[in-house]
Amino acid sequence: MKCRIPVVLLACGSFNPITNMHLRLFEVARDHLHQTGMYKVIGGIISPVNDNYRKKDLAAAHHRVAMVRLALQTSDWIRVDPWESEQVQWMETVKVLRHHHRELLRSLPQTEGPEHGRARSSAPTAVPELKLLCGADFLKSFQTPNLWKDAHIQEIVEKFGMVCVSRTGHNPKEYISGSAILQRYQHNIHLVREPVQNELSSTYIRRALSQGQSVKYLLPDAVITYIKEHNLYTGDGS
Amino acid sequence: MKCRIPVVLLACGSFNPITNMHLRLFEVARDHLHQTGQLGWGGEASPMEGLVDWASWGFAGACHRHHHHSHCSLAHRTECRSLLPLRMRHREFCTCLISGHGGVRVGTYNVTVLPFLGMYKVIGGIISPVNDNYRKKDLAAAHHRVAMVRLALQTSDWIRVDPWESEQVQWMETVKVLRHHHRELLRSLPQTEGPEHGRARSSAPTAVPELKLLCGADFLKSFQTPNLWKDAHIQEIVEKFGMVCVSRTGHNPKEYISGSAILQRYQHNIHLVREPVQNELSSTYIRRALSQGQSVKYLLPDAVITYIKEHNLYT
Repeated sequence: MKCRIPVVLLACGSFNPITNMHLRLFEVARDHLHQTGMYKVIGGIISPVNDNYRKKDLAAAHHRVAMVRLALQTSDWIRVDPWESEQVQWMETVKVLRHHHRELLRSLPQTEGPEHGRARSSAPTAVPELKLLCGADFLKSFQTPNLWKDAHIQEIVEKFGMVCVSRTGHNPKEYISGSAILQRYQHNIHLVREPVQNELSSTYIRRALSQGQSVKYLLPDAVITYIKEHNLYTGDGS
Repeated sequence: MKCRIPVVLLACGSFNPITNMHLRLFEVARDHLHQTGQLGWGGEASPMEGLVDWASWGFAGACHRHHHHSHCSLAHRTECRSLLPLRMRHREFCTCLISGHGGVRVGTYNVTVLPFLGMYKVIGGIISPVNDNYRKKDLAAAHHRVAMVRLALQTSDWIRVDPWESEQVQWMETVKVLRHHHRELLRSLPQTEGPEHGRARSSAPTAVPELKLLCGADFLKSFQTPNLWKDAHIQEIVEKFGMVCVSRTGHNPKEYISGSAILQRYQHNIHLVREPVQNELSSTYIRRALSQGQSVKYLLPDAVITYIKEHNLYT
């Protein structure tokens, strides 16, 4: 069995609320990386953004984290990590990547004694990589003036790598060819086509909820129950 | 709450397997028919202005018997029509009063009143998987498809699966499935007894429930396919029952209606619903993904995925 590079997928975002579309990103990305034959996805992390991001209609972080946790109850490989949301202030994506990468390395089994540094009898363990999982709109946002530091974009695609799942209306190859940095590291940007073109968005969910419409089957039942119990997204400013 | 027409939605299809998209059809259709608090006019009707005060027309009580329009005698229908200054169909008039709306003022004459939105109360949903003898390619056995729908509906409090169609000796036309379930629906109504029989009760009387065919716009389009449908069946479906069509990407249901004389005539009985979450999710996609070993999690209920794996379906 050839050694495949272990990969953990990290998704940052509002998750306001989490939807089946977000969850699909992970499944689709994992399938894609496995099909390349070069990677083995060993985990997934959902990191809801800090409240200080001050996005309109952003539900409190503890709610958003709780909803993601509920949504992941039936997943055996994805987990929620509240670290980013618990920091004193909002932080750039690259810092979240650095943190989780450090944690990932720290969690590796440590070699001890004379074996330290020498290959074991079985296939050596490759160092796991942490990749940013996102939609193509995220990739497009690199073009927005003053939104990203060039150094950060470079670090994301050079040191970590990205897995971009395309949504309707986006042509991710254009975004790459329109940027020198992205072109240079395009081998580290995995473009995944999502055949089930899905306009499902958190915005749609919030609007439907505020209008009293059903969102069943668009996000996990446990999340819908939570939203109702805590009166979230009623649209009346509560 | 004023009396609204009870409706049961019936969806026929392969459900091979059932997906979240099928389940969404029901939710979206129900929301549409309920149109909470809105007085809307279906989009396809001529624009309406304001409200009509029936009393000013002298109609109050003219058609107060709460009955299914097809049970009205010809004499009654004629009487209603003679009272109406507008070119209004008897059925719309009856349903308008049944709904209890205080009034709808029509700004112009020769307007077809389509007082349907907000006038229904969806009381149930039925999923009816097609018979194995339909012989569609890759059709999993009916008992599996029924079982999967049952699992998918575990968390629904208003939709159920009905295996009747799938258990018949042979495949049957959609209109026959509609007739069967409509008979069953009427049979399940509480029977009035004794002196009260036929007289209005003190509270709002119970309107006869209607059974409507729930489908995607592709179903509506299929009416155009030569030799696929009998004209008499199409007419019966839209005239006696009614349809709720949820639009999917790439379909323009209004075109299908305007291209057919029968559909145009009964367009008031064809409710077009826009599904804002344009979704290409289809059973075909699911089967292909499964056969390629790809994940379908979050596209259909977990319980259905487990069933598929346990029974080695769609490999």
